Amino acid sequence: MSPQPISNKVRFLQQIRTALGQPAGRGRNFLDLFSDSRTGSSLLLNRIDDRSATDVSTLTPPPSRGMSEGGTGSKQSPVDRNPLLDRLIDESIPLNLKVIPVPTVADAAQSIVDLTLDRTPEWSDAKSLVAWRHPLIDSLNLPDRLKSCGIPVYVPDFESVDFKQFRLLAQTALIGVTSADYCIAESASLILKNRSGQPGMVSLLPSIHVAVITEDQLLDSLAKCYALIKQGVDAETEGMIGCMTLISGPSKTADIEAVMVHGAHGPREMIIFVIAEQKGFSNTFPLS
Amino acid sequence: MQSYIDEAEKAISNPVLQTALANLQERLGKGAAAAYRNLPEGPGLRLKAHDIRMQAINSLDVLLETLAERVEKNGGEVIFADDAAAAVSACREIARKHGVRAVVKGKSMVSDEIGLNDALSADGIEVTETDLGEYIIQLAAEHPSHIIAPAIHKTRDEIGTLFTEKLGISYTNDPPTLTREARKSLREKFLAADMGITGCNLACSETGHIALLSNEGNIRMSTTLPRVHVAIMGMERVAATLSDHDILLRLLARGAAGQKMAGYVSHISGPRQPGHADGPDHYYLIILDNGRSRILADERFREILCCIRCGGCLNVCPVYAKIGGHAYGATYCGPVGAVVTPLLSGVGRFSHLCQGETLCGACKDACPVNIDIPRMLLELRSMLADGDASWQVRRNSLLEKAGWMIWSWMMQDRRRYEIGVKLMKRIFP
Ligand code: SF4
Repeated sequence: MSPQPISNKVRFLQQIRTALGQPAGRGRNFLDLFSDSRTGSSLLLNRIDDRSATDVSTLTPPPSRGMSEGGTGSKQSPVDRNPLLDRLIDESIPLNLKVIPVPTVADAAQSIVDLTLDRTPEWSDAKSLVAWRHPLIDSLNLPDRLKSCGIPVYVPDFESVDFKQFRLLAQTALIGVTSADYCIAESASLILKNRSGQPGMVSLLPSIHVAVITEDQLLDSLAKCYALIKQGVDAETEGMIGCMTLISGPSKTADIEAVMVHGAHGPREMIIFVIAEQKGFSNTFPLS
Repeated sequence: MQSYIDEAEKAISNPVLQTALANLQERLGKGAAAAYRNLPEGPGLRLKAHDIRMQAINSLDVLLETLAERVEKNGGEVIFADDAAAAVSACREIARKHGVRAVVKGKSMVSDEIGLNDALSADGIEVTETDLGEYIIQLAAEHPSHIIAPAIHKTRDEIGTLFTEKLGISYTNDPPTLTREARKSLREKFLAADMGITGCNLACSETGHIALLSNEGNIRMSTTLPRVHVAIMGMERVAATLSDHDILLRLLARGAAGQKMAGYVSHISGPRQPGHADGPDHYYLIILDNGRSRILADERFREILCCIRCGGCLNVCPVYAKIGGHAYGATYCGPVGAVVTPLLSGVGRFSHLCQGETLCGACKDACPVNIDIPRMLLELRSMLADGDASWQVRRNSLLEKAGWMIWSWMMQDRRRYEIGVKLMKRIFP
């Protein structure tokens, strides 16, 4: 399309200024009007470092409840537990999102292997996985672990795999494995950014989305997440936001007589493994 | 107006629809109220959100200019469209330029407002609505009857019959099975599409991104897979800063469905970056006026531009609960539609909408940004009573005025209503 004549934009904005009773021409600018926003977020950032287990002040107290699936926490005193993790688990239940704390990376990997063996493929006869190129995901060593079962794991190395080819692999995969930048406990939302080797389709096209994160990636609120992003190093290199997605549970719809059904277009099942070391969690993963 | 009364009567005498609407209000209306109470900042955040929105609307020139600069810097193209025709022709031009043959659409009220689907179809382009509710409506060749639950008026039996007819599956009325069939057939559409068209729930000026909410994942599909993405936004749908965006996003999810966060929130800043394996090659943002600057210029109605189209006011409105969305006869229905439709499409032509509402105030309390809809309904009524040259409104007849006062009182009770319809039909044969 030929570039739009600049006058169209100018005229459009002038019409708005007239409607607002503003004088013609560019009299005001963004920073004059909204400059307080930076101070606002740095105040917030000062509080983010307090987000460890001791800071419960910003969280509404989790209702008393039984331990999460697979947990052995009944023997554990509540102080040992990260309140953000507790909160995340509480929030995930009504969303049909499974949050499984595991003590080590190897436990997460084993659970993913078990899951792969247990589930039935949807878009192909054979089972396969796609996964991000990401340090934490690489350390799961999934290709080796699944090799003996003859189940391939594809990773988008962009020197070797062409993108069109990778998309074909993603659209027939049973499970997509990603990590995330952060996870917001308050709404059980994973924050994922598209990056090289970490395409969005891995969390979108396969039947099941599995994310593996570490405990220190938990944040209590979206406000903190935005504040971190705003001040983060990424802001310079990839634009402030880039292509970013919040994911809070499996795909769902209630468009037919308000009956809730999971797996509308995206993954029908979603699991987050949180590596929470030395918290005494069981490493057995309940498959059903 | 006659069609308003006819459609209203049809809706009221349809027991299935009456139950569906009642359930919707029970579920979503109450859900939103509970979700406001559970806000970490407390329900008072709605008042703050109102200020944030008003401030944004009052700075709209600056916010849109900044937004456009950022989008362009990220490699996107911004098109300012004065009216529906300009927006439609921009879309057709983009489709032509990129040789587009198949379009997948995320739910977008604004594309309905500008009549985009028909225009693209006329160019021989296959347009598929991908939100399940919208898909059902498209297969049935009907119109949506709710902002976020467009197929609320269809029963599972009707949908089963429809799918048997259109998708060639054997009959079932089981919602999970029907959903799975739609999942399969829409997946083919996503994978084959050249272009995705979406609306924009909320843009952010400071960052230059747009946010799109869905629970199904269809918006992610439409913005991840096709090689072209066109987003169309009403010019008022912009937040100044990320911290404003945070507050509005959380309130939007609560107002729309009582959720803390929508299942998926896509933040999109531009086309695919070098080295990325997905995302569109081309990204266009169309910013639409189409009568909004006229609303902006009128202090009495500027506030309605704060609306973030969550549909929350529909879920508590006693009139909507009875007459459903179709009676409003326009893209925007319910309390918000009763204000916005006349202002966008003709105060005289849609005068009955503001007369039909009861002014009970439920919509204001349900609104995530605390918009005073009853006040604006009154402004519209007084405009109709006294006439208003700037909106080309002539004075109402006294008879009509009296008729509407009776109507709105009638609407509050089923028995009163039945007598009322008969009476209205006599007054306006
Ligand atoms: S007026 Fe308020 S409640 Fe109604 S759709 Fe707009 S934002 Fe939502």
